[in-house]
Parts: sequence; C-alpha cells; structure tokens
Amino acid sequence: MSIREIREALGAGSGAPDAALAALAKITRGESGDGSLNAFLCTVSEDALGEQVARAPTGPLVGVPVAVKDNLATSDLCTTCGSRILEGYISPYEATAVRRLREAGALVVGKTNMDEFAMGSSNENSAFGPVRNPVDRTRVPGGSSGGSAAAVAAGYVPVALGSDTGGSVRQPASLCGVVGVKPTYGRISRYGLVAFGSSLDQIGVLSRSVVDTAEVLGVISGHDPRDSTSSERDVPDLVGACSADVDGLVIGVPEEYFPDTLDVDVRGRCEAALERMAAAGATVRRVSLPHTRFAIPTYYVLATAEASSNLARYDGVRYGYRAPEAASAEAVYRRTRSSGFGAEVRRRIVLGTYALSSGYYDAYYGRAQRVRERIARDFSDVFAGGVDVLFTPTSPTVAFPLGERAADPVSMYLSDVFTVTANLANLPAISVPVGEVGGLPVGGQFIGRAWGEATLLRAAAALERTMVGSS
Amino acid sequence: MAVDRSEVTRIAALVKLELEDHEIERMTEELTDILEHCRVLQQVDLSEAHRDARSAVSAPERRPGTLVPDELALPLPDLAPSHEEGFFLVPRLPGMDAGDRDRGSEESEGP
Repeated sequence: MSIREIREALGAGSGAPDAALAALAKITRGESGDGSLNAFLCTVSEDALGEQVARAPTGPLVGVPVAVKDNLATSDLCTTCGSRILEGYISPYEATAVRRLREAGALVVGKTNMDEFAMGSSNENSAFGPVRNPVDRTRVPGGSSGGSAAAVAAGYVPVALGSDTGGSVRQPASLCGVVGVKPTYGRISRYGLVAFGSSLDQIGVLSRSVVDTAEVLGVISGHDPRDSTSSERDVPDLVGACSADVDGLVIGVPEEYFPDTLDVDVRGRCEAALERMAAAGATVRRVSLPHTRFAIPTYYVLATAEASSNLARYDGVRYGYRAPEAASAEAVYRRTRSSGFGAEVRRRIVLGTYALSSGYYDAYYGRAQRVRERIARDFSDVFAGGVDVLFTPTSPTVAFPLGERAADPVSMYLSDVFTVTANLANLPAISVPVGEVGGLPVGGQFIGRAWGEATLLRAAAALERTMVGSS
Repeated sequence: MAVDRSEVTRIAALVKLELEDHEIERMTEELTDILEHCRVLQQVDLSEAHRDARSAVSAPERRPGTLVPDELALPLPDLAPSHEEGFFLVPRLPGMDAGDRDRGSEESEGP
C-alpha cells in the first residue's frame, strides 16, 4: 500500500495499526526459513507495536509502517550498524529523523540490515549475513542500505530510511527497483545517525513511488539545533512539486557518466528515459563534468580518513561488545576492535589512517580535499550555465551475483562511480526505476542544485509518470 | 605506491588493531592496489591558475558561534545507568591502578 492508500483506508474506518500489523506479518513470513531476504536485524513485537499506536499522534504519516536502517538510533530497538562491535547496543536516545517520523504518526516496525558501518556496496559486509535481492535472491541488493531497499522492494513496508555517504541509498534503490533520495547535505539532521564520513553522510528515504518519497522527505527535513550542520532554510512543498510538469526543464546529460565501457543495456534504458522526458517537454542538453574520473579515489581517501577518526570511539568500554580475556586496558582495546570489526571496516580504518599520516597527508588527504573542490566546481559551472538537473545512470550495472566482487575491493568501490559525486559536492540526488534488463531493475539518477529538492522531485515524478505510461 | 608490511603493521598498532600474519599480507596487497588507483589524483592540475578562492562545495550552513552549554537529550540517569559525580561508570578495565578499584567496580553494566 502507498501512504495515500493507508490514509484512505484510515478514512474509511480501518484501524491505524492494520497496515503495520500486516507489515509485521509479511516480515515474519518472508524472513523465516532458508532463502529469506535477511533484510531485518530486529523487529518490534505486536505488543510493542500496540504501545506505539497508543502513543502515536495523528499526523500526515499516521499508521504508516516504516523500516529504519540500523545505523539510526532508536530507543526501543537495537542499533548495531551491522557490526559485532555494537551487538546488543540499544541507544538511550533517538535520531531526530526517527523522532519526526513518529511525531507524524508513523510506526517503526524494525531495523534493517546493512553493510557494517555503511561500508559497502553489496550488503555482503554485514556481520549478520548478506541481504538478498528480492528480485533475484542469488544477487546482491546493493548497499549499504540494502536491507531498507529490499524491505521496500519486497513489499514489507511502503517506506524505509537509509543513509547515503557515497550512494548507499541510491545504488540499492536502483538494484532493487525502488525510488531512493539523498537530499542536500544539511537538509536532514544527522543527530542520531552513527557517523561514518561526517562531511558526506546524509539520511535518505526509499519507497516505491516518488510522491511517497517526497512525503516522508518533507516530514524529516528541516533545522535541528542538535545538528550544527542542519540548515535553517524552509522546506519547500515537496509533494506539490511531484505534480508539476517539466515544460522548459533543462536536463543536463554529462558525457562522463555514459562512457564507452558502460553496459549497453543500462545505457539503452537511460537514453530511452531521456527521450521520454524530452517528449514530456523537457530540454535535454549534453554537458561535461571533467573531473568525474577523479571522484572514486577522492571519495575513498576522504571517506576512509573520516571513518578512521569516527570509529576510534569503539574501544570495548563505551558501547556494546567487549572482547573477553584481555589482560590489560590496551589489550581490551586491541582485541575488541580486532574481533568486533569486520574485514572491510578494518581495511578502511587502516587506509584512512594511512592517508592522514605524516608523510602521506599532503599526497592523499590534502590533495583529495582540493580535488573535491574541483568536482564541486564542475557541478556549479554546469548549473550556472542554465541546467536545472542532471541525469545519469545510478549504477554502471544491474544487481550482480552474491560473492562476485567480494574479494576485489577496487572492483566493489567502482560500483559507486556515478553516485559519489553528489556526496562530494553536497548535492541532492534521486534514483528512479527506468526499466529492466533480463528481469533486473535499472535506475536512473537525477542530481539537483543545492537545496533544489523540489526541482529534483519534479523531474523524478515526471519520469515516473512516463514509465507508467510505457509499461 | 607500494605499501610494505612494516607500514601496515605500524598503522594497525596505531589504530589498535591486531592483525594475523596472513591478514597483514592480504591488507598490504589490497592497500597497494587501492593506493595505486588513488595515484590518479596526482594528475589533477591544482596550480594557482586554476585556484578559485570560493568554495564550490555546498558548505553546510553554520549556526552562530555562540558558546552555550549543550543540553543533554535526556536526564543523566536515563543516558547512563551508572554514574557518579557527573562521570559515567563503565565496566572495569584490567590492569588499572589498585587505587581505582574501589570506584565503579561493582557497577559494571554501564554504557
């Protein structure tokens, strides 16, 4: 059910918890036995759901069941970040985004599986096992918000929260065939989002339609005094933007995102989407973002450097897991971190510390900071030239088989090649389904100007309407 | 740029990670591969002629730099089951000074 359908059912006299109870039943059925999606790390009990219903105010999301990525703090459910080092940890406070959902009447039904500390593009890095793609269970759902994407794609919930540091909402949305948005850095408070790369992290929304995405984005956006980087700008009418036409909208198509090596079918679906947008009244213009090829190394230097600092706090003293049988405080730290963190997290901590260390700082971290400026400058130049939104593929490929890239970090990192730039430039971006290849979903990505979520959603909703018309 | 074992070992110690020999071997190879990929950053022209003082990255908007005490989201007892004189008590670490033992050792279920 969509948010609108849940609202209509309520208007027709159906009780508020019906949709949430149905969601819980679906999750229980779908997540049991061999071959389950493994999308959830924990769910609420029916009793706890009843307590939420009793406390829930009547707001725009009344009765809407939502799933929340497990790196967002919730005071009634686990917050493990998909890591052994936080196993059993329950936060004493809630993320602002979660609190705002509850204040709007939404009901949190569970926490979703994810790559450990949001480090991954396939959800194979979770300490609690990989998530499977509901479209084809032999394939990955993408990552790191793979549990949230799978939960929405499987129809367990109409909407889920994720987080996006380099594409972790948009890439799994693309691979699972749902909508996923990452707003401008500062649009949503990061209070209660467990930090990975603090200058890049943003909370995002996944759902089955652009308008549902817009509705939830509008609810959780806005200033929060508990996050000094959250903006005081007003939140525009995002739902209203979804019904506007695209007459006169200028869509830039950056040549660097359509290289000769791009999968021919992915290219075909994206080119077809552009043709439909042009037929709907938009103007399509070819543009260039010349520093795009530097984006992946820039991202991985900066994100790992920030992560190495952010993850220093997990020492076996303050949160969750502590390694047993250590003879000294130093041994507690080392053994807890060594056995509590998985391989990818350990790799990124070492890489990030290397990039920050004396003798290498200027060559890696300092240089990456300056290249980040160049990448952002490319975007500002194109937008200054009259482009309203950019359109690209979200992912260079469709969902790949489980295990295919697990042993090759560089190959895995390249999965994010089209999504990291929006994070580096702090811009809003959204992935929308644009078709299928061999039964597997393909996503197209719009990237907007800073604070241009309304235009972004206007374009995405228009593309979605053309897809409905074409299917 | 090739990373060697001693460098990986040094950094692992710095970030308090214990790595087995085979892990050091594998991580040395992986970091060398990743850093080789990152070498492309050296090709970007960052000369003065291309420098622009304005930041193109949409910078986060900052609140005024007025220093006020942060209010806790919850009362202290809700944040930390065990606390004393404004300090959080945590499970005792091995090897601490004997003089510290009287304090906090019985309240070992802190956050």
